[in-house]
Amino acid sequence: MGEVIRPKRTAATMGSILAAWTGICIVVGAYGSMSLPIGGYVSGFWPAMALQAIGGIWFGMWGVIVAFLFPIISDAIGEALPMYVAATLIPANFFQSWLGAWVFRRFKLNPELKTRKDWLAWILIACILQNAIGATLGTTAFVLWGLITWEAQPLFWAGWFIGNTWPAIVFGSLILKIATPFVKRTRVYVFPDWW
Amino acid sequence: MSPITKILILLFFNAYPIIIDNPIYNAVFGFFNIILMKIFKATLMHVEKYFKLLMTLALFIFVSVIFFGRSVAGPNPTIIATIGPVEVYSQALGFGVMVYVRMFALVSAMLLWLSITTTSDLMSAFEKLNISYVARTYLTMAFRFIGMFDSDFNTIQDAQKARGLDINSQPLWKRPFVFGYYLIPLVAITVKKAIDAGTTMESRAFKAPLKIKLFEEKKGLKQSYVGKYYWRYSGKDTATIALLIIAFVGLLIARMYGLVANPFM
Repeated sequence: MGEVIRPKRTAATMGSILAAWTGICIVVGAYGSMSLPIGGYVSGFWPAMALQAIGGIWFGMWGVIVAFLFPIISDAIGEALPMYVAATLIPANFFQSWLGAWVFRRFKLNPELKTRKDWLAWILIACILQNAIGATLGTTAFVLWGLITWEAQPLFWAGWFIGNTWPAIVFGSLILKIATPFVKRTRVYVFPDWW
Repeated sequence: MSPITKILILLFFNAYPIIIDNPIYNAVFGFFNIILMKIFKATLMHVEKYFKLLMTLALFIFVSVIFFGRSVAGPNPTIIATIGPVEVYSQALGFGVMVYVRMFALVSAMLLWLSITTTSDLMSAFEKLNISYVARTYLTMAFRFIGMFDSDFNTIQDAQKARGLDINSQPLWKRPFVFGYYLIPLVAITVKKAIDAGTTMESRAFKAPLKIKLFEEKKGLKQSYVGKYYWRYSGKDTATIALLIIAFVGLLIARMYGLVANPFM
């Protein structure tokens, strides 16, 4: 009694969420960056990170695919960033979504953040640790492209990490608390599965 | 020009600045792309944002090589200036110029490519490259959703303005904090629209396995409207592709013999 029975997932609905989540990430990434610019497109605030982390938890691999797909589209098509440079950020963006999604599934945590354990995993793993890994991989890619030097990497690492982590903590927590009860009643909610 | 030729131009134009280390050759290539855009009267909306990107890159690169340039200055660096405790090396600046001009060439190549390529071209080329019907459909939908959510975001902005909240009138430090008032409604709209779109596709008999296949299986190849009516290929395309391959091989040989090295390092 009380169990929520969701309609069967189909490729049409999951493909639609893949496309729609890609669209919202691009729009939120662009508007968010513009609201607190540091210089050009360098921003101290990248709220799309919250959507990257939540996408993996809610939609499993569909959300993870979006996490590394949308920066390629937004960087290459939207900002004319060379496609090879955009492609080398795939590992960073993959980890920024997958790790939290994996932890929530592996330890059977609740995306509605009901217990202290849920909160700890969300803040420490899905917000802080996965961004630290993402920032490390991303800035290493920049170093390998020669965009920044090894000595400058810690500075840019800090910029990336802070700009991503605090929107993830503030907005990610809000969205998970407020929207998860609504989204879990729909058939696009994949958790605790991956596909 | 054929969509396949355009894809190969993209690959070549993105490879050229990476193979070349000499900033003069890359600068010539970058300006050549801009001249081509002028000649073809390419229309680019919101061009100023691309200049912002170049400024961002300048910030990244020159902060890095001026303040943290030791690792790229080589074993015997020449100090050309001192800023407090920071020593500025000429080799590091040479490295910075090389990387910046390379990025300028890459960005101008992307601008040229974007100005001559439409979404239909892209989809048509993907079809010929045997990218699966399902993957192409999702990609096309994603492009469509970008415009849709952009419009939804503006609608939410107007709705919040009517309630007395205008993000642009907020001080800079406060803007990120009020962003949540826009984000949460947008997330709800996104999920609802995705479900509606999925239901519509199902009602039109769209069927596919849950795990996406990137490439089409030959026997199930479906030709789309875009693939049928936007596809074109002529002898000129063959000549262009042959030229691109010859130029690519030539560049690799030139690099092997050190003909494209950076003279400023």
